[in-house]
Amino acid sequence: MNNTRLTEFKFPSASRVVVYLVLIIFAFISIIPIFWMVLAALKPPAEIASNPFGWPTKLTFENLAQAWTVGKMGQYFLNSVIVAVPRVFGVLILSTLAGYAFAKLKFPGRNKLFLFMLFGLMVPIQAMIIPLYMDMQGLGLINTYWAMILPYYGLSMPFAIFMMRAFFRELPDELMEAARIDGCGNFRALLYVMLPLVLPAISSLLVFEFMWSWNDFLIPLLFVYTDSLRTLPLGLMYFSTQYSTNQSLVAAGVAISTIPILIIYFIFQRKFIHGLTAGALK
Amino acid sequence: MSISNEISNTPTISLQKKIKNWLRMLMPMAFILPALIFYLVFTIWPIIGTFRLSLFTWDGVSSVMQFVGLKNYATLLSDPLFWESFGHNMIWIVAMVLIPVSLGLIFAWLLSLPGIRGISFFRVTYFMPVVISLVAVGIVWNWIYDPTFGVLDSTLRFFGLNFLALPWLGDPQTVLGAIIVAASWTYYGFCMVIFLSAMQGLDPSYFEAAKLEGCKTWQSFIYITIPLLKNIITLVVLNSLIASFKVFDIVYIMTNGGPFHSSEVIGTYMYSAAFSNSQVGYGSAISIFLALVIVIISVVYMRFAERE
Repeated sequence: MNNTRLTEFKFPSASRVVVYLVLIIFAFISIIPIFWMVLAALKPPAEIASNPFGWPTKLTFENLAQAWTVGKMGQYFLNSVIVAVPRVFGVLILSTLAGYAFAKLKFPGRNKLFLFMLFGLMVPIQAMIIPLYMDMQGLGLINTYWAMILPYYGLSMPFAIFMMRAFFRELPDELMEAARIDGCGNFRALLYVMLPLVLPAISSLLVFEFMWSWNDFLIPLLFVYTDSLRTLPLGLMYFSTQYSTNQSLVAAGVAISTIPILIIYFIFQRKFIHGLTAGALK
Repeated sequence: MSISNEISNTPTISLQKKIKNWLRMLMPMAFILPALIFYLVFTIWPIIGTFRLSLFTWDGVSSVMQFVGLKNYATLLSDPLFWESFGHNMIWIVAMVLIPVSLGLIFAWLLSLPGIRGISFFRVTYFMPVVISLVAVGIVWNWIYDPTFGVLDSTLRFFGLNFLALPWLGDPQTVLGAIIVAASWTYYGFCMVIFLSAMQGLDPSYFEAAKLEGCKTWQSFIYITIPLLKNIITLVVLNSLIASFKVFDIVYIMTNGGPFHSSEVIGTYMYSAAFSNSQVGYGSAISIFLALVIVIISVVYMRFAERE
């Protein structure tokens, strides 16, 4: 069956082999650096110095355990979760409300206001970071979890609203009319009619927001200076300079900060891809 | 009596109606208001604040801020290090279009060729580096490039190419290219996923017609696929353009702009000015200038792409 399909499209099998070869080589290029790191984390420390990229003779979880406790990766992990949950849900709630209004409700100045919200996409974080720091300081939030959460309720809005608007626009306007006839106000129409339908789409924004929160760097770097409040990327950075001679520990640190997001990625990979394409293609 | 009542009532009713109508028009604003307030407080207001700071000389700590007008911008225009960083951003832009964007386009095309199986597997694999924190990416690539135990130089030495086994991140000649390769590694899967779903949405009849006309597969890529994907290519290039100007994390993590500013980009240069050298006003001027450049280039690019 495969062959008939191929002859039909006149795609010669020799070039098919070349195509597969190229595809597989790049699949290796994408996987192997991460794979090596995880492998190095599972290697006995003595082995890594002699043969950092080789196959381990036996696997050990000692490095991971040590990085988790002595290297405080466990604490950083917890901090990352504590920051991600309110950050992601806050962003989702705010952007759902606004995206719904931009897509389905009519009011004067709608398009101008939407463009104004998109403006933030172009401005680099550096052009806001110093006054943001001063604001956080004024609120007494520097060196708290909130310093890594609150700014994103504003900073994440351009992208999140852009996506939410695209999601809500996919739904037919007749739904709104039907909801109105049934006596729903704008809010009830959102809550009971629209929201259940966009929930799958919202979850793809959720995975992106979670990833950005998990991997966030500059704001945690500047707004938090106590080690016990650091999130994984920051913890990992200081950890890797502190233990730069102990490669097993560093590899274990990388593994601990990478594996959770990879697991989430593998579970929700369709969501990642849908989120990207919904944002770009619509 | 009744007449005067009517007269006095009509305007109040219409006024009430007007207010009611007005409220109905503005009610949707209530949905936007929370997001808008946060956006104003944590995005727009800080941008204005940065502009204000850029007009001062300030070390970030002392209570004295000296107003200097546009002097910081004048300093910037004649600062050779700033222009060197700017040049690196330009190289970065060109490299991002040449490496990850083109690779993404080519791989999306290869995967959408008839008879190629395992699209989901390759898509998941290529996208994997996108989700990893840049700190982890930086550490991994620092290891790969390490001159003593790094896999790159070990491999080169294994094949007897000792003259090529360079200290990639320590040599001013190679450092920028080395970071760009690492950055491309985290970005090409992103481009590929977008291009692939755009290609899957294309009408297959174009390609069938081309086949009948005797068009070779690679020819249909150049003459059919690319023109049909023009809008999405424009978008991905625009995204790469903006991201290349904004780039900070991976450079800061891998080299912090060194050695001798040979991998300095505007993002890291601004960071050193504002946070390491206590030149808050100058750092602000750099970031406002950068924001302006991004806005202008994006608008010009979009105009140009629309007219084409």
